[in-house]
Order: sequence, then C-alpha cells, then structure tokens
Amino acid sequence: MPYMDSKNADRLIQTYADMILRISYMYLKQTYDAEDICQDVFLKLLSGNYHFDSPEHEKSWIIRTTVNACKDHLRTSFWKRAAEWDSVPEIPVTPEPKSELMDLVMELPRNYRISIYLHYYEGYQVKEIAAMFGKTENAVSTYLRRGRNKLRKMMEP
Amino acid sequence: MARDFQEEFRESMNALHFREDVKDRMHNKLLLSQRESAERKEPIMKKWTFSRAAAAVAACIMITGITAFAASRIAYYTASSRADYEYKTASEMNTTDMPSVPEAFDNGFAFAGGNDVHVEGKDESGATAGKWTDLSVEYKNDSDQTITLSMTARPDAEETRKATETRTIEGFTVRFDRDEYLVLPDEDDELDANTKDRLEKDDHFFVSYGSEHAETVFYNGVSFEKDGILYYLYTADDISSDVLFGMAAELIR
Repeated sequence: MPYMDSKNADRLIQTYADMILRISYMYLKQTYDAEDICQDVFLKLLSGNYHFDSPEHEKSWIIRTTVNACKDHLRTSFWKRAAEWDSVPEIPVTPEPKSELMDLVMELPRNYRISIYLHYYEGYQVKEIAAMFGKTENAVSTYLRRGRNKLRKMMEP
Repeated sequence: MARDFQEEFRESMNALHFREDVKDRMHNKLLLSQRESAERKEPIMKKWTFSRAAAAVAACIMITGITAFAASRIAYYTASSRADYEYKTASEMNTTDMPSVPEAFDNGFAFAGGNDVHVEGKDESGATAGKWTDLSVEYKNDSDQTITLSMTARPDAEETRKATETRTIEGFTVRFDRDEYLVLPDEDDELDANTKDRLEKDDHFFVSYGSEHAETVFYNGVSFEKDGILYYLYTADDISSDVLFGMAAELIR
C-alpha cells in the first residue's frame, strides 16, 4: 500500500504542514517559500522507504528534513535573482505574524531562532534539540541563553 | 524566560498557518505525484515554485506548445522535472516541433542529457494562466565541465541589466553576463560596507546564503533571441566568454 494514500496525505498535511511553515518562517524569515519546502519534505517522505518507530520519531524526522530543505533553498539562490519588471503583481503568500515580539525574535541569529521555536513552542528539551541536529547540549543551551539575553536587552526601554 | 514571552510567542506562532485551500492544493499535488509516479514507473517529480522574476533569469527551455489563457496575467511559475536525465541523446529530444539541439559542439562539449520541464504560469489567485513544456540540456566535455543550454519563449520578460559584453553574430545580438555570487554561511552576519556598496551599484553581484564557509561563485552565460525563442547557455565552470559566444554562433547558424 503506498505510503501516500489519501488518508495518509491528509494526516501528514493536517499534522505537520503548519509546523513546516513555522520552521520555514523562522529559518528563512519569510513565508513565500514555505509551500515549496512543505512539498519538498512530503515528497522526500514519499520517495524514500521510511519507517518510523513512533509519532515522535516521525515528527523529529520531519523537523530535521524541513531545516535541511530550508538550507537547500538558500543554496539555490541562483534561481531566485530578481529581475526588474515594469510592474509585478503581488504573489499571494501566507501572511507573516505581526507583533513587536516577533520582530525582535526575527532579529536574532538563525540558530537562536530555531532553538527558541523548538523549545518554547514545540516543547523540546535541550537534550532533544541537540540530538535532533547533532549538536552538543552545551551549544543548544548557549543558543537559548544568548537568545533570551538578547531579547531582554532589546525589550528594555 | 518570562511567562508572558512564552504566551505571546505561542500566540504569534499559532497565528501562522496555511489556509485550508493551500492545504487542499498540497494534498492534491501529493496524490498526483504518487499516481503519476506509479503509472509511469518513474521517480517522484520534484515540484517547485519560483517567482516570475526568478523565472526570467532561470533556465527554462524549449516550447512545445503554449496554451493561451489570454485573460489572465502570469504572476508566478510552477515547474516540475525529473532529477535524473530523461533524454539520453539529442536525437531523442529532436523529435517534435521544437528547434533542434546539437549532439555536440565543435569545441568538444557533447550532449550529456536533457529533461522535460513542465511549466505552468499562475495568476495572482493561483489559477493557471499558461502551460507549456520546456526542455533543459546539459553538455559536458572531457574535463567534465558542464554547460547548460536552455531555450524559452518568454511571454513578457526582458533582461534589463547592462550586459558584461555584447557581440553581434550573423545579425543577432548576443549578450554575455558574468555574475558573481558571494555565498555566506549565515544571513545574520552583518555585510561589510564594501559589500553593501557593491550590492547597490553592481547588478552583476549577488549575495546568497547557505554555504559552510564564505565563498565566491561565478556564473558565465550568453543569451540571444531567435525566431521568438530565448536561448541561454550558462555555466558555473571556468569557461570563457569566447567559448560561450562560439557555441551561441553554432546555434545561430
């Protein structure tokens, strides 16, 4: 039975599409490429012979693959050069979250943003984030600590 | 971290989600990919979206036919292609109404492989405003250098930058562009003043991100229009403009 039948496609999209969008936004600082990133991740899942021991295992794979897909997107910037047009209609994109706090978070370095997202939104512990990306726990702790400190300073009146 | 930070952060993230129609579209595309792959026993196609601006300079290829949707204006493109070569010889590609591609050039670059690229132009609402099949062709030499040939009937695009060099060959204007990419590891690193200045003033200089270490990559390319088709030969290898102009001349003749 194909991995990607209608029921499974629906489950994956309902469970993970928004998470992939959020990670893409935190990584790329825009939502424009999120649908592509989502498709890349699900197509990779479709074309590989993956078996997951648990929903947590599956989610972890999706997160790692999303970050890798974002990195690939940055590398292919040759295809994203802007040409000048007389008038370019707006391309419909998912609206980005608008808040003062998000503006400050988006000023942080990428590693801090991703760590903050995974810890404060997805609820992952330092050990889990470190294992997911092959980093040391110390590195992840540093990202979180420095991220918090920078945010505190930026929020000071 | 203060509780209110976490609450506000969660609130902002909760507000970031795909619309249901976008999820429906993704759902249908995934099932279509699965079905097409099973029917043709081919690898899963990678589908990607790129802006019209990027498409104007990206390698899009031969037109086999355009379905006109006159009322809509193309705002962006989607395209899909196989990751491996679909065509193993030039003669396989030269079997339709498309302009022919050479099996080899005089300078030793020979046909390595080609692919169909299925392109759809979409309007602002995401509806199809144009649909065609392009081709992409790679040529390699004995040193394994690669030059890509792409041909497209661009509906309304125009290169507005000043060319690095221009030559007239058999009455056709052929432009050469040498583009420099500074690829940096982290977008959060501040660009130095010189780099910022160059970005402002030099329209052949770009900054991108994603490498392990800072590196510079050059792309050389020649392009010309003939019989309504835009031809574009480009490479990231160390190949001179003379070589590329020579190949353009062979295509023109």
